[in-house]
Amino acid sequence: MNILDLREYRDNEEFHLSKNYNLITIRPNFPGSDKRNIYSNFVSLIGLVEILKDIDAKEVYSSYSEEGLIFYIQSNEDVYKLKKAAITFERWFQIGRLLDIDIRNRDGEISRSNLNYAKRKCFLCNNKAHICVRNRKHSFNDIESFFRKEVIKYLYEGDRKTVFTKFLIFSSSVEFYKRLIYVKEDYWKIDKDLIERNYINKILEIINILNNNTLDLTDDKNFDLVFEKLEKLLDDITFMEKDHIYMLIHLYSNYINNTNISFKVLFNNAIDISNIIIISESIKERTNIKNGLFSLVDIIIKDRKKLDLIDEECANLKLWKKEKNIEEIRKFVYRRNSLFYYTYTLSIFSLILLLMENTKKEVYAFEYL
Amino acid sequence: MNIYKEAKAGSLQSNDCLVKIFPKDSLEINVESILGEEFVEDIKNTVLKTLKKLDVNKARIEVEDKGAIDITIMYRVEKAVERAEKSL
Repeated sequence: MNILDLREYRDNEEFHLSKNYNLITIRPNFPGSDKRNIYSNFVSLIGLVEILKDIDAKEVYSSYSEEGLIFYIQSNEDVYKLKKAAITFERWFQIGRLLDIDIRNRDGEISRSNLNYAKRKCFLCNNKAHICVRNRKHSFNDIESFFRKEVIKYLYEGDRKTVFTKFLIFSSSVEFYKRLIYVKEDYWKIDKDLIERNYINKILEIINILNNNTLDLTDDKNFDLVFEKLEKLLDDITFMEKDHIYMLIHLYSNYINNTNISFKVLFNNAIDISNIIIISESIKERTNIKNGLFSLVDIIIKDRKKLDLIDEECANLKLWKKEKNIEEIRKFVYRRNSLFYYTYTLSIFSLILLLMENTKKEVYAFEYL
Repeated sequence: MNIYKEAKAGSLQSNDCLVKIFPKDSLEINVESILGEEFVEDIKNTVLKTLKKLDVNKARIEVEDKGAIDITIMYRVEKAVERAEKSL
């Protein structure tokens, strides 16, 4: 299905979802015929997290297609109250204008004019957005680059905890992106039990535990204590994600507990963590880790067959879920010589690239996978 | 190409349009756009061009535009015609 067919399909599904409830649809306001990328995923996730703070949700559905990562929230709250909240969010929340939040009930969509609000403005020139779209006033590159810069600016703002929380959500947006490659399954169907949603809930709980923690996590004993607390939470998550989170906690602990830490130090930490991942023989020979990461990506791009290895590795690693011994898992992670870990590489890689404020070209290196 | 039954394509989502097509002895195109009157002629021309391409001379077309670009309008018209013809 192309993006226009998908939109027609989605419209029909939204009609059914809004028969008995009012429906909020959150989707990225991103240009082009394939809206899936780490930035637009992130914006949708942040939108979901923020909107759920303000409204009483009955059920959340999700889909992931060329239309981007979309969330559908059913709610009993008054439809005009919802629309007002959506407009306020789009207008006042820092990256709100990068989102499209639609409200509909059984009679159809509630438009801005229903509430006497002015039509939406274009985020590049402040004229009426619809007219800019119709006249193709701005190039794809201009809009895309604005979108990306706004996300990166937003990621960096706030205190340490806020920034880390954003990065945690950002990394889960990378998870979505990876699923495109690793799980050979389409997520375009609207579903309420997507793993993604559970994963998001888990992430929020983890953020909560970490934020309320007063122990020094750079100390291994404390780290294990907190990690044990998280274990139950992590149990339902697949091993791949668990390990990924483990590394993020590690990154977090170094970040949070060192008041003088700079992004450069954080970058070095990220590199340390990436060391786990530097695995394939050709990469071992390299001393420069950054180059190693790039060449790893090169290898993956050139040899897609290697992707099949990952499925095998996933099967092996599931056995390890039974193991409760963190040391064992850690050793295993360090010892493992497998392409499997490049999944984490991509997450950490994206962090590194953002931290280094790398050029678009480099960030896109792995988006082409 | 003949239109035998009514059909529709598209949606009322933003930057989309809803195209409805009905059988008729002559050609009639009605357009409503959130962009306002100044764009209506423009959209009518796009619809007309698409119909000519498909060799549709008799039909009534209703377009409810929510800010769609030309490619979208063409695609929706094509789909509506395809569906109106398929039924026989």
